[in-house]
Amino acid sequence: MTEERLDGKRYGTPSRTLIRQIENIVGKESILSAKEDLICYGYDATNLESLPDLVVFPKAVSEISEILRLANERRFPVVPRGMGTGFSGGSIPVRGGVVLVMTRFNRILEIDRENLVATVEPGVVTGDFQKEVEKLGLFYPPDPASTLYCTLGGNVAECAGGPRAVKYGVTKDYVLGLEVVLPTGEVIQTGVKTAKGVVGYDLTKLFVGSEGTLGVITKIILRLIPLPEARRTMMALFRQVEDAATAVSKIISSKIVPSTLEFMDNASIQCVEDYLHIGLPRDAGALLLIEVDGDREVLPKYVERIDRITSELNRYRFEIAEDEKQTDALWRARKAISPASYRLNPTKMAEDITVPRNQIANFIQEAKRIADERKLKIINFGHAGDGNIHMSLMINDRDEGEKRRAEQAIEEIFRLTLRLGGTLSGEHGVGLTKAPYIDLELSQMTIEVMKKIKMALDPNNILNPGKIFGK
Amino acid sequence: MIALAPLKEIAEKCVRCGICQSVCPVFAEIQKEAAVARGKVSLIRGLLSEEVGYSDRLSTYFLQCLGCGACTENCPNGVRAHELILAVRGLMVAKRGLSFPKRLIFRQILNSVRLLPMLLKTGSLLQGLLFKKVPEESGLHLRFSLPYLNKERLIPSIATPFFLDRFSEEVEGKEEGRRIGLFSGCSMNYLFPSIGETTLRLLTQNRFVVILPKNQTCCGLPAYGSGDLETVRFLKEKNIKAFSHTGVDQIIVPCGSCFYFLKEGYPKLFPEDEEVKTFSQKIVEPSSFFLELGNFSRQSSPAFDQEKKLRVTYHDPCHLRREMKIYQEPRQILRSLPGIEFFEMKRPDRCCGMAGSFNFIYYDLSKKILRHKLDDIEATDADYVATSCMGCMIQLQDGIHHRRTKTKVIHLIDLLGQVQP
Ligand SMILES: Cc1cc2nc3c(=O)[nH]c(=O)nc-3n(C[C@H](O)[C@H](O)[C@H](O)COP(=O)(O)OP(=O)(O)OC[C@H]3O[C@@H](n4cnc5c(N)ncnc54)[C@H](O)[C@@H]3O)c2cc1C
Repeated sequence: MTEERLDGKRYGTPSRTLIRQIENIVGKESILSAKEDLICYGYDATNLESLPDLVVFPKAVSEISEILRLANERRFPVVPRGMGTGFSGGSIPVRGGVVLVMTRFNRILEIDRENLVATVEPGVVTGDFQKEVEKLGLFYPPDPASTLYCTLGGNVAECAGGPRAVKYGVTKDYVLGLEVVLPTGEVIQTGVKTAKGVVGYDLTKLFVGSEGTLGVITKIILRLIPLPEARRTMMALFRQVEDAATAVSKIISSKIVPSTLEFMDNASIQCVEDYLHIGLPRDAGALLLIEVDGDREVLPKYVERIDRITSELNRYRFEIAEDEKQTDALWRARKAISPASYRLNPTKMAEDITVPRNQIANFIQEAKRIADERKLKIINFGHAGDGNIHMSLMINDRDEGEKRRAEQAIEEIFRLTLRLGGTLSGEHGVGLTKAPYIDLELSQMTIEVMKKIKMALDPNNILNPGKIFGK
Repeated sequence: MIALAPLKEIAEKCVRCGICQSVCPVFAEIQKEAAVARGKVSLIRGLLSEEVGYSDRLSTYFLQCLGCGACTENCPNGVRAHELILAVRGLMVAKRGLSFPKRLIFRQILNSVRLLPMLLKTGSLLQGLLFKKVPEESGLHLRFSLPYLNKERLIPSIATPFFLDRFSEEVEGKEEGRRIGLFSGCSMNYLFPSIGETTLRLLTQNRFVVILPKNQTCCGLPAYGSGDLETVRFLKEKNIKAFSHTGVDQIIVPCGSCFYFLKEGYPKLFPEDEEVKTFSQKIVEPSSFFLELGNFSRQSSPAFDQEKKLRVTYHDPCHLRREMKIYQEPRQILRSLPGIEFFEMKRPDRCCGMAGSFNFIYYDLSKKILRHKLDDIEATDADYVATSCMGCMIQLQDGIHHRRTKTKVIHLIDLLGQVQP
């Protein structure tokens, strides 16, 4: 690992002295350097791959500071990593160097029931944390589908969201403050432990969603809310996507904000029906999975209102879950999309674009046209409540022609998204996969400002290089 | 012989979402990617592209798997990861040979029908010398550690005489009836003969004539777990031969792991073999078998105090629950037994950490995995934890002994036996 390479190439293999220096910082038992181990730390859920030179499991903030100082001195990249479930390549060491695995920072330091605030380390698994606060009647809503196997640090770094975002918002709405090790090794605190706080720039928000490029998060202060008493789940099937879209608008304008509003298009419905055989009508245009939560007494009223709104549309079927078992049954179709989709083709090119809620039907129609023109298989599903659509092209990536057509289609779908007033990524981040496209969405000047911030904090570009701006 | 190439397609189905990290009991302890299916699948890709070879480190990683199948059960893309891992173990043996102790055990001892009983008989005579008896338990501790046998481990004492030596090849009750085979397996023969006796009694009471071929042998699962397919083939042939002239059309197998291997493992490993197919169709599992028989009922029984019901919980052996989907039947039985109140523990399907030789090679790791199971058992405050696999029994007994929990480990069949005295 010699000079930082701005040409994007890898560094040389680390010298023995350098490895020894890092060993002196964290101890031998906290380092992996064998090929067999490096192979296990070069990927995330994007299935892209690039091997690190060294894997380090720090246990203390001071160790991270020292490693980062050394990295500046010797110019090698350091890439923070949670549990490697990212969907944009954020934790992949594209230029080699050290992967900094944060999972040993796994303590819940405090749950303050009076002030509804919790302090945690970044390696805590999101689902474990949720279980702990729920035991106390409290609620941490952000619920990425990967909640049982991703870390809070990864969530903060990507600003993860989930189905509940429509009512409760995303990770950034719950982060009050952070402890961060800067790329140059200094440790700072951002934010507050109170509900309000306006002293200085809002650095907390700067680090939330910074994808491990501006600092290593070592502590997180999270806001909690009271756990809703109960929830009810419903499923509605419509003839046309437009009907589902109208339903969404009408439900929300009737002053009900569901805690979940998931939707599936016709292609996803067919795909799941072929897989599960649960009697979904194959010609249904859309499926909506709707959940409301709150005090037990008000829920029947919401359910009844939603029933009425959807019944005035072209609706096939409406089901209400009466217990946990029926709730699980209603979620079954939604949860089966991922495995079912691989029956269409072996490779998935998935994007998580987001459009304004009232443009969903438009988007789906246009995206389908773009895919059809190129003879590509497309499925759309996702979070209708906030316009975040998981658009997936199912392709055979051994067919070079098809792969190229898919890449063209993706670019065109991105342009469509922006035309409709949307954004390229709702929750997965830019990382490697969207880096080539950010200038479609951001102006040159905006990108310049971001780069200046990056350079101010990380003058030698050692922290997670090659991400976000890596065109 | 397995080759690497067919694994390629399966390995490529893994999209590395990482969900296996949330269910793998080994990963929960080690927290290293190489411990979990996603990492191991990546290592398989590494083997395919020849980035890595069959090194010591790679072997270690592939041995650090319980084969419990939790990853496979939860994989959204249907990657049968635990089977891939077992297949790689087979390749490891082909490339590197077996480790010395395993070579000794599988090739010399298991492969010879006489050597194992002979050694164990000598062992049973020497038990007093080698082992300390643990008071009030039916178990032993080694007086000193031996390779693969940690001093701390509690081992059930070796049966004298062995189960199969206690009976003739044909056992009938008062009335004559249908013939049925009984497969003993090593644990029942050498360590838990009383479970065999109860099975025999229940069967003969139900007018079965029980056939116990003397030359039946180990099912071969431990050898399969270590990648030694040559030994599996040998043992499979012996077992099929042992039962081939008995004329039975059902063979009951009290140990859940042996049951899985005879019923499902054999035909999977030898798909072309017609004899295997016929043999495996005869294999039956006790809980479903006795349920179908149906005449154990809520009759009163002196063994149980009707006033003070016994609290019983059930531990699911991985081979029964995940591989064979048998988990409702044992519960149905437990719920219908008189004098028993059945309580579900928190995660009845979490692996106990035994996993055959895994437990001997990685005793400490295995005990860490067991800890969670013991916590769950303790939380039920049960008098008995019932299960259906004798491997699990050895492991649970060891853990409970060290913790001094009040719960006793019992085989489902023994519970049944107490109700039908
Ligand atoms: C099946 C599946 C479903 C998913 N569903 C959702 C979903 O519904 N919503 C959603 O938003 N995402 C989803 N994701 C994506 C992913 O789980 C999230 O982005 C998650 O936040 C990543 O967490 P991680 O711990 O795995 O982080 P990693 O993938 O390890 O890292 C992600 C990024 O965070 C950085 N990072 C990690 N820890 C730190 C730290 N302590 N300090 C600084 N930077 C750090 C890394 O450098 C990297 O850039 C899903 C992923 C999968 C596989």
